[in-house]
Amino acid sequence: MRTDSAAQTAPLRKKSKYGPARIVKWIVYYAAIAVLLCIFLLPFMTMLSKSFMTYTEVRELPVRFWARVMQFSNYAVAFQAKYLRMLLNTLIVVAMNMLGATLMSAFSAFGFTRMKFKLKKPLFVLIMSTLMLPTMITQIPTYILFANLHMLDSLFPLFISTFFGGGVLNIFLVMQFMRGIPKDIDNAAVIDGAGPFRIFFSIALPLCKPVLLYIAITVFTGCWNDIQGPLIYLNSAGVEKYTLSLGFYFDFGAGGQFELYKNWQMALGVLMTIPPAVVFFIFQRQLLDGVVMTGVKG
Amino acid sequence: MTNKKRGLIYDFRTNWKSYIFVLPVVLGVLIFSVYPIVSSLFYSFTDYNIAYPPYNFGLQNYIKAFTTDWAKLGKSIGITLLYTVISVPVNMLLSFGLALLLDRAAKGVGVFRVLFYTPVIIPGIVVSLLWVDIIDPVYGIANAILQGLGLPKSNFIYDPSTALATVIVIGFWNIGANMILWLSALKNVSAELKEAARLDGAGAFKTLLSVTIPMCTPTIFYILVTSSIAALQTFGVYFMTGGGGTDDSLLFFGVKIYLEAFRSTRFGYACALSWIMFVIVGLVSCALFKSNRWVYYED
Repeated sequence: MRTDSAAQTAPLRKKSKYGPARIVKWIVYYAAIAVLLCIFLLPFMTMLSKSFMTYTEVRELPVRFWARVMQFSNYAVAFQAKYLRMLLNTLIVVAMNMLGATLMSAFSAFGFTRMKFKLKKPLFVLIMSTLMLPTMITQIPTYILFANLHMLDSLFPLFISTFFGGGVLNIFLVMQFMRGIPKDIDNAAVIDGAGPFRIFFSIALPLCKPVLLYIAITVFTGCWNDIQGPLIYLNSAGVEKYTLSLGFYFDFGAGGQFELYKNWQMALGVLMTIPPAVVFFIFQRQLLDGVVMTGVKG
Repeated sequence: MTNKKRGLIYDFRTNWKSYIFVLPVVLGVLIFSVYPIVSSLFYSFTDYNIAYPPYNFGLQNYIKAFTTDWAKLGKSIGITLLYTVISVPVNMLLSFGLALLLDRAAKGVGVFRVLFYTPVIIPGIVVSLLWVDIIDPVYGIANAILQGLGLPKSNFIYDPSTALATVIVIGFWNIGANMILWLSALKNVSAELKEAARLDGAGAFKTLLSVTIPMCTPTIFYILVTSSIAALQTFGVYFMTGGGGTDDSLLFFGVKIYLEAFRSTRFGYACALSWIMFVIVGLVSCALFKSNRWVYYED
């Protein structure tokens, strides 16, 4: 904070761009950021360095900060059949949610922006009002609903609801986007004799690619990182039904069979971090803009 | 116009294609929102453990919450409120400070922003277990660092007197989330207003207080409301403690509800608790919205 106000007043007093006072201020500025970054990245460094240690090294006293010899073998633990099976389950959930969220939110948004019907207003209000609803309330009865449908301990509860509309916030985002697409385009198609379904699939859906890409990315990270859903719905399932996050928690969390094997935990943790991190670094512009967009509108 | 006079049946018949487009989401809302709310309210007045149909209709769950279980529940509510009241404002201050630091045209600023945001995007469970390792009283690096600095060791979340503070501080690792919102708010503060303040002789701090912050009030309000609601529903701590922590020192309301429902299979009681939570969240939101006169809206 102090460096900040100092740097802002600098141009008032000194006009020259490279005056000594100014250079000192920049040095202070970057030093402050460097210190903050060190604190921020320390947990990542711990994770990375422990992922290369031996079991005795992670349980050594005084605490070790670096491995004597880098042990890449910890990463091999992640490639056991068990974890690969969990990876497959995670990918199924992620893929189904991405499909459901993009396709169905666009489908519903098309209905609300491009189609005419009497109940549009009341239905729209009903749907948007669910945005206010805390998940706390719906979580338990939804669990009971899936229990009564005999769907517990399967992956279905983790993605079925997405196919019913694709998420209210996502619908809202696509609607905002669709309003920006000139109606002349679909009018031309109507004249050519295309019905609404045809227009949706061959005109509206492709045009919405940017916003659907944003939705797909957020759904990917959201589902990949999700632990609460799997914890509730797969709690009593066999290991072969777990998602990665749940298997990770059950193996390495309190009371887990590998609780003390921090070296394995960190290696698996690093690997689980890579997919969302890569997606984030590739699409950071869309993601950060989107966070702000949903933040301001939502 | 004539369509307006005709009934809904006519509308369904002529515009059935429109209704097909919105049918999935309407069904979704009915199945996954409306039905759960109604049934949750119903269950909250019954004893229900899934094995048998709900029985014993009455107020017993709500009475239990405020009588026999109040010692635990009251503590749980207290912890949750204390956490919210401390962590939300401090988090806002820290993330605002960070945004101010990164709201300038300096080399590398884009990279710094991304780096500060990274903790937000990695899997929550990895983060939780990572922190469990860092604050391990014996093998964790947190105590090693404290010792290196000549400070006393701590038992962090395992000691009831430091548990909540530890969780609050760990939460600050995620200030990148709010930082992004602040940065976009700061970008929208009019440069002319800042320039005018500067010409009037206001220093950087004065400009911050009388131009930048008032212009950011809509964002302040938005972050305050959403993070308060989120903080009241905190559940992530469960993955660090596997329960309520030592002497229930980390028995957040969300954790309490989870334990009642999925550990003790008292679904009726858990539903009643979630309605109590809903009322608390509602009251807090109402209070915040009532007090929003300080928010400056441009239009």
